[in-house]
Amino acid sequence: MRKRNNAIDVLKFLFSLLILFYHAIYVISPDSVKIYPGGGYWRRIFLRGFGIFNGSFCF
Amino acid sequence: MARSAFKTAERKNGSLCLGEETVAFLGRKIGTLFPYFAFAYIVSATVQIIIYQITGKILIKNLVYSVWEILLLHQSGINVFRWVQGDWYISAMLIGMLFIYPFLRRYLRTYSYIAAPCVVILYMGYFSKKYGYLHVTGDWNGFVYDSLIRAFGGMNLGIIVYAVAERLRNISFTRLGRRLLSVCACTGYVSIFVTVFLRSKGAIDFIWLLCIAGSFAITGSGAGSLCRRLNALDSKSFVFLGEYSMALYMNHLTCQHVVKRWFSSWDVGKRIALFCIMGLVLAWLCVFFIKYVKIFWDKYKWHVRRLFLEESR
Repeated sequence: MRKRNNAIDVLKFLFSLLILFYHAIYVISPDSVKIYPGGGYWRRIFLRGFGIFNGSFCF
Repeated sequence: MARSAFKTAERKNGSLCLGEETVAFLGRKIGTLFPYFAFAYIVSATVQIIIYQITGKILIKNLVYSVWEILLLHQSGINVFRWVQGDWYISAMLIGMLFIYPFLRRYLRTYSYIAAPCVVILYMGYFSKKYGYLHVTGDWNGFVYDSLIRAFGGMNLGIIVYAVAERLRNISFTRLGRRLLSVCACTGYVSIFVTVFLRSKGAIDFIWLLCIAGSFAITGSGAGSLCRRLNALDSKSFVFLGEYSMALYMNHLTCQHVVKRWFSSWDVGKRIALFCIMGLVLAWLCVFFIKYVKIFWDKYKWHVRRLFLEESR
């Protein structure tokens, strides 16, 4: 029997953490980018990155 | 899901009964995912009923129309009231798998090498022309949700990635080669999260999708030196991470209602921190709740069955 691939579980976990952080920024407070200097950059970071991957890596 | 479909289709042989096998495969998938969804549904509905004080006819209407959500069918286009925000992907993937699995099971190589690439090419072309980017979650195109097409295309990409990973797995790499693969995969993941955001959304999405597919093929093959080191470790804690990620994805959006409604006066940093902490704790509770429900069910399921079913002779 093939051994379980632990790296995939690690990836799932990392992506779910990143999605949590994205929603923290985007859903809870869309204007939260103001807390970062040059906030537009960070806003684009979270919007685009998670927009592409969404939840597909979590399960 | 694409990975498990590929693995199941590859493992099985002998006589085919595609209908039953497909239903059995989806049944197993639903059996794995549904406890997380059920927990998220109960918690999210309870939280929203309390916070927004939903009562009377509206409550009954919402509960009745959420039946399609419970059946994980809302991506079919049926009018539905949704309590859980993050479940669209599960619905889309299950509906998509209903079409993919029988073909994958019957024509594994043909589907992996011909049909799946065709679907992915058409899917990327369609999204590129219609939207110019990939972040689409609910647009109705007159026939199906485009998010359903997105999930379908994503699963087909997953099948290609897994076929490539299988090829990589059968190649003997030198130590240097394995290290190089690890560097490529890590560079892919890191560079996506660093550079993907430097530009506005657009055609570059598709390049990033290619990068993540390549990185994941290396990870899935387990050929990289980093993967080999991780795989040499005990799987127990990693299994927990996999389960926890699902719980976190399903449950964290419930916390938005609490934070937005009751903590709107807090400054933004505290709200973000509170949301993250609540999400992590709720996901942890979900994992342990499901674990103990499973233990309880395994212990008493025969007693419950005996209440309703006659024992077979």
